[in-house]
Amino acid sequence: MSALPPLRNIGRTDRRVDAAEKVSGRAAYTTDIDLPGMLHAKVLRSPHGHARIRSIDASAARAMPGVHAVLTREETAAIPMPVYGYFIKDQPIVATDKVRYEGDIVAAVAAEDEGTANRALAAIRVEYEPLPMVTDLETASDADAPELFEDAPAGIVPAYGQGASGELRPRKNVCYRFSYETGPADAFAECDHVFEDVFHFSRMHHFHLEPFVCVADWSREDRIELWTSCQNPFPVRKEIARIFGIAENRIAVRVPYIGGGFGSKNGCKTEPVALALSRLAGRPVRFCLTLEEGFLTNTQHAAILKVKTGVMADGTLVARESEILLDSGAYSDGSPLVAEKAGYRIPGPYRYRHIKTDCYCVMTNTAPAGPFRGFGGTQTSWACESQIDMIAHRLGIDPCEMRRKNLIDLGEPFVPGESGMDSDLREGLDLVVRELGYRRRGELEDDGPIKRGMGLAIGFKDGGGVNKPALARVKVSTSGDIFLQCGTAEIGQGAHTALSAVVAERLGADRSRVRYMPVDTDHTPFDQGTNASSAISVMGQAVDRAALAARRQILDFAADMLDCPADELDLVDWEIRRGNEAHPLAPMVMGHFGGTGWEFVGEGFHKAENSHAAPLEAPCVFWEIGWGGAQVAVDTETGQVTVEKLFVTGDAGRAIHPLACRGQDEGAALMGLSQALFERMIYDGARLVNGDALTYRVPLADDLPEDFRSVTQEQGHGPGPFGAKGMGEGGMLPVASAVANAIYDAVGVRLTKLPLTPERVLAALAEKEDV
Amino acid sequence: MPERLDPRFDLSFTLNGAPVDTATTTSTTLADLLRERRDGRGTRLACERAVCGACTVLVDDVPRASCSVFAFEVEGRDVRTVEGLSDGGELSPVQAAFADNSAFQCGFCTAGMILLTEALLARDPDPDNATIRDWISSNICRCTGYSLILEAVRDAARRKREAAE
Amino acid sequence: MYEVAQAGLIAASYRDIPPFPVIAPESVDDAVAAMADAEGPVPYAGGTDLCGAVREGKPIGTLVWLKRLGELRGVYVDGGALSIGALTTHAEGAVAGATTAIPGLAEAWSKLGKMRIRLSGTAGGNLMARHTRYEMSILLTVLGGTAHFASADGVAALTPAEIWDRAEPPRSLLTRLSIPLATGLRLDYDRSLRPLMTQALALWRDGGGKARGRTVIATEYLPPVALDLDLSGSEAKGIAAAAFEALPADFADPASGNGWLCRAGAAVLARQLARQEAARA
Repeated sequence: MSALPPLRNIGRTDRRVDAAEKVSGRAAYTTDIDLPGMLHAKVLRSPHGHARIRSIDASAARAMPGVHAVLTREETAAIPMPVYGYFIKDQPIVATDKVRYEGDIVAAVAAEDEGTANRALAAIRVEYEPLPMVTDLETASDADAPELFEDAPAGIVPAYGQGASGELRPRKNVCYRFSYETGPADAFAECDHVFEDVFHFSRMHHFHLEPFVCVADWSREDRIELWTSCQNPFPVRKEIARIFGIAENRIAVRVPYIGGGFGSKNGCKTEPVALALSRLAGRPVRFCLTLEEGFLTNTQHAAILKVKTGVMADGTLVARESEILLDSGAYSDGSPLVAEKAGYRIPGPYRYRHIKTDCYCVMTNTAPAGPFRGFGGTQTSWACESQIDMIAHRLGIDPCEMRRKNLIDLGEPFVPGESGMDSDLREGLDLVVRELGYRRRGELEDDGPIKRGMGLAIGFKDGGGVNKPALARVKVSTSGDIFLQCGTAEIGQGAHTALSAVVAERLGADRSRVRYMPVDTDHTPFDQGTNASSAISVMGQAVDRAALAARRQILDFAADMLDCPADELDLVDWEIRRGNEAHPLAPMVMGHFGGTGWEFVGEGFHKAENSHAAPLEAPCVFWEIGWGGAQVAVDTETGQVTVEKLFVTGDAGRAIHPLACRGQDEGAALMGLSQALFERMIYDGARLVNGDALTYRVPLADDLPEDFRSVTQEQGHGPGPFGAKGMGEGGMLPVASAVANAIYDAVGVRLTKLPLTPERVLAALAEKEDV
Repeated sequence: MPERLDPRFDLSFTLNGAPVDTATTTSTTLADLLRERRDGRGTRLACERAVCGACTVLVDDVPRASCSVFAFEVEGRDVRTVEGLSDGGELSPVQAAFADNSAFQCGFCTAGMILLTEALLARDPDPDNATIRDWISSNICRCTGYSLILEAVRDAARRKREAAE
Repeated sequence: MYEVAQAGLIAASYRDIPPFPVIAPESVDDAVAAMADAEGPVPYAGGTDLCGAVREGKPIGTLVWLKRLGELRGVYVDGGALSIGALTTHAEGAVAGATTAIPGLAEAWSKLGKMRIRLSGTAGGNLMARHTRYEMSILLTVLGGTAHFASADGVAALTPAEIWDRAEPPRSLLTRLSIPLATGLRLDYDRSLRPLMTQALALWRDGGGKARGRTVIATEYLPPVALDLDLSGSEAKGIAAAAFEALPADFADPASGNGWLCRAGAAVLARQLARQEAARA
C-alpha cells in the first residue's frame, strides 16, 4: 500500500464527534422524546399465520377511561391510501380483509399510558377464519398452494438498463422477479465442466438494541411533526404524504441518534400507526415496540440459491446461471430491491462470458423481510464463494489460485456498462493469505478427533445504492463556525465524524469547528437515505462539494478584499494566508457586510449519472469488497466447529477515521460469524420459535474467536472524498463461506446450509463415511 | 423498608451521591424511575428482560439490569448511573477509555458497558483478558464486534491504575 | 416435546401491572405465613426472571420480597447432604467452601449465566424460572438432589422433574436445595455445546462400594433427562453409547434432532468418563 500524505483531519484516530455524548449518556435518541400531553400506542397482533377477519369489535376498548383513540380497519377506511411498501404498496396500516402472518397488526390503541393501552387491546374481540398457510419457498407457487394476495396490490417496476428486467407478480405468491442476462447463452456449450449446486441461506433478525420507535404529533390538522428512529427520513416523508394525502411541506421528519438499525429502519415501520392515532386523538403519540415485536416487524431474507457454473478444465470461469428464491415474508417491504441486488451480485467478483439470473420474491406467512446489512450480497456471497471452492476442489486446483485466476482486474467493468473495479482484488486476497498463514495450512496439527483447516472467501457487492441523489449544505459564520447540514443519520457508523472531518479538511479548520446539524426534513437538504454504505461514498461527495463551494466563496471574497487573484490565497484557521501574510477573516467579513456579519453558504450535490448502458440505470458508485479467512477446528465426534482464527479486511479507499472503519468491519464480521455458526430465526411452520432476547442467540464477547483481527486497507481508488470508499457491510459478506470452506479443508465435507450447526457437520461426516 | 409496603409509597435512596426522595409505586421499575428524571435518560431500555444489559446501573456497586429491578428495592441504597460518572463534565477514566478507543458505535449499549466495566475494575483493578471477556459477555453490543470494547476495558484499567499511583 | 409460546399478541410490560402490595418478611416463618395469607403471592428474590415472566402473562397479587431472609443464603454440609439456600447467588455459591464437598460443582456453578446475572441471580430463582435455558435444574437432576418447599401445611421435598410439572405445594416457598453426599460423589459438567446441548455426569459409589453413574442431557428447549449408566464395562465409549440408547426417541427440539443429540451426547459423555478416569488415576 502506498503511503498517503498526512492530512489535518483525515486518517486520525481522535475521539469521534459523538464520543462525549455517547459515553456520558447525554446522546438523545427517539426513545428519549417526551412531548407534553403525549399518549402511548400499543397494537393488537394476529395469533394466526393466515386468516380472514370476520369481525372486529372494539367498542369496549373505545369506552375505556384513559383511551383516546382506537384504530381498526373501520378508521383506516377513511385514510386516502392506507397501505405502504417500497415498490409494492401491499402492507396495510392495520389489517383489513386478512391477516398474513403471526404478529400482523390488527388494531391499535393510544392511551394515557402503555398499561391502559394494553388493557384496551385485551378488550378488543376479533373473529378470525383461519386459512391454510404458505411457508415453503419451493411449493409456494404450486397450483394447490393458498394465496396471500388474491388481488394485485399497486406496484411499480423501475426503469432498468442493459440486460436487466423486472416483473410484478410473475407467478403465484411471488410479488416480484428481477432478471439479468449478459453474454451468449451458448457459452455453456464450450465449457469443459458444468456444475450445479444448491445453497440454503438462513434468516436473522437485525436485533438493533434501540427498538422501532417514533413520536408522532398530528394534533393540528395541517402540520405533522414526527421524530423517528429511521434511516431514510425523506422517502418516509414522501410515503406519509401519499398515505395520508398531505403536502410534504406540512410534514417535518426529525431523526435523532439511531440506536442501531442494520437495514431494518428503512421505510415505514411504526410511523403510519402512530400518525393515524395522533390524528384521531388530537394528541402526540409515542409508539415504541418491544424488542420481541421487532422480530415480528422486519427480518433478513432466508433464501434458496441454485447456481450453475460452466468452467474450463484449467479453472477459467465461463458462464453462470442462477435462480434465487428469497423468503420475503407476508409483505413486500424492501424485497424487490433486495432481489435486484441478489440477482445482480450472484456472479461475485469474477469474469464470465455469460451471466443469467432470475431472482424471485416469494411471499410466505411469516414476518416481512427487508433490508439487512449486505442486502442480498450476504446471500449471494455465501453461495458464490462456497461454489468457487467446490469447483476448485473438483478440478484439483487450489481454491486461492482458482480465485486469483478469475478475479476482475483493477479498473475492469464488473459487467458491460458498469463502472470499473476500484480495488485491487488480488492485493486484498494476498493480505488474507499472508495474515492467516494460509499457505502453511497443511502443517496445521490435528488433535485426535479435532481436525483443523482453513478457508478463504471474497465477499462482494455493489455499494452506494442505486441512483441515489444526495444534497449537502455547508455554512460558515462570521467567526468561522461551520455548520454541516445533510441528511445522513448517525446510526453508529461514524458518519457525523467522517463527514465533519471532510468539511474541516477542506476549510482548513479543526474538526471541532464543525457542527453536524440535526436531521430535520424541514431544513436539511434532500437525501435518499442512510443505507447501502453510501454515507462517505455518495453523501461524502455532496458534502465535499459543499465544503469546496463554501471555500471558493470565502477565497473569492478575500481575493476581492485583498485585490489579488484567489489562487494566491489559502484558508487556514479562519485566516487568509497569502505567502507569509495572515489576514483574519472575521474583521474582513464585518468590514464588508457590516457588524451583524454574514454566512458563507456552499451547496453540493451528488448522483451517479444515469446511463441506460448500466444494468441498474446508473453505474455502481463503488464496489464493496470483504476479504476474509478462517481457521477452524472441527470436532468429528460432536460436529462442533470452533473458529480459532478469523481475519477480515475491507478497502476503505482512504480511511477518514480508521477506528470507525475498524469497528464497522469487525462488527460486520461478527454478525457474519454468528450467522455462520448459530444465529437464526427458527420457524416451526409459520410460528417463530425464538423471537425474544433470551432464546434468540446473538454473539457475546465470549463468542469472539481467540484470534480475531481486521485490517483496513487504503488502496486509494474510491470515488469519495480523498479516495474514500464506503464501509460497514463488506466485513459480513465473506465470513460464512470462509468458515464452510475451512470446514471442507479440515474434514472434507461440504455444508451448503446455514448455519453450520454441529448437527449438520456430523450428518455430513456420516454421509461421507457411508459413501 | 417497612415489613409491608403499600402500592404507593415514598422512596428514599442515593442517586449518584445525592439524596433522592420521591413518591412512586411498587410496580415501577428502577429503569422507569430513572428515565422519568430530567437527567436520567442515559439509562437505556432495549430487551426489557434483563438479557441485553443496556439498562445496567450499579446498586451498591453491583451491576443490575434496571429494567428488572423494582424501584422499591433501592430504598436506602446507593445507585450509580452513567450520569454520575463524570466529575463536573470531566469524563471518568472508563468513559475516557471508551471515547478514545471508539469502543462504541450506535451508543445504545454504551452506558451499560461502561457501568459493567466500573463494577469489574472496582473488584479487580488488573483483570486478565479472560476475566474481561467473561464480564463483557454479560451485555450485548450489536455494533462493534466487541474487540474495541475489550481494548477499552484494558485501557481503562491501565488509566485507573496510573491515576491511583 | 417442546412448547412454543404464541407470538406476543399484546406486547406486555411491567407498565401494564397495577401497583401491588409488597411484604418483606424477616424470617422464613413470616414468609411462609405471608405466602399463606396474602392475595396472589409471588415470591421474589434476585429479580432477573420475574420481568420476563410478567411479560409472558404472570400476574402479581402480592409480592413477597425475600431479600431479608439471610437464613436462606449460603451453602453448608448438613449431615450427609449438601444444603444450598434458595437465595444463594451463583457468585456466592461458586466460591462457598462447602461447595467443594462435591468435586466439580464449584467449577460448574462458576460458569452459570453471565457475570451480571451471577452476582444477583439465585439458585432458587434459577430453578423456579423453569426455563430450559437455565442450568440449576440440570445440576440438581444429575446430582440426585431435591428442592425443599415450606408452606403453611408443612414442608415438602420435590425432585427437579416434579418442579417442571409444577407439583410444588400451593402457596409454598422454596427454601433450599439438598444434594445427598453419596460416597465419592463427583460432577463433570460439560457446557461446550451450549446452548444446543448441555451435559452433566455424576459418579459415586453405592453402599456396597459399587461404582454408579448418571448422566443428564438438556437442550435450550427441553428440560433435563437423566440416563443411568451401567459402569460394569470399562470402555468409556461403550458405556456412553449404551446409556444414550435409553434417550427417548422424541427428545428433539426445533434446533436439534434426536439423532445428533444421541450421537453428540454419547461422544461428550465418553470424554467426560475418560476425563474423570484420568483424574482418578
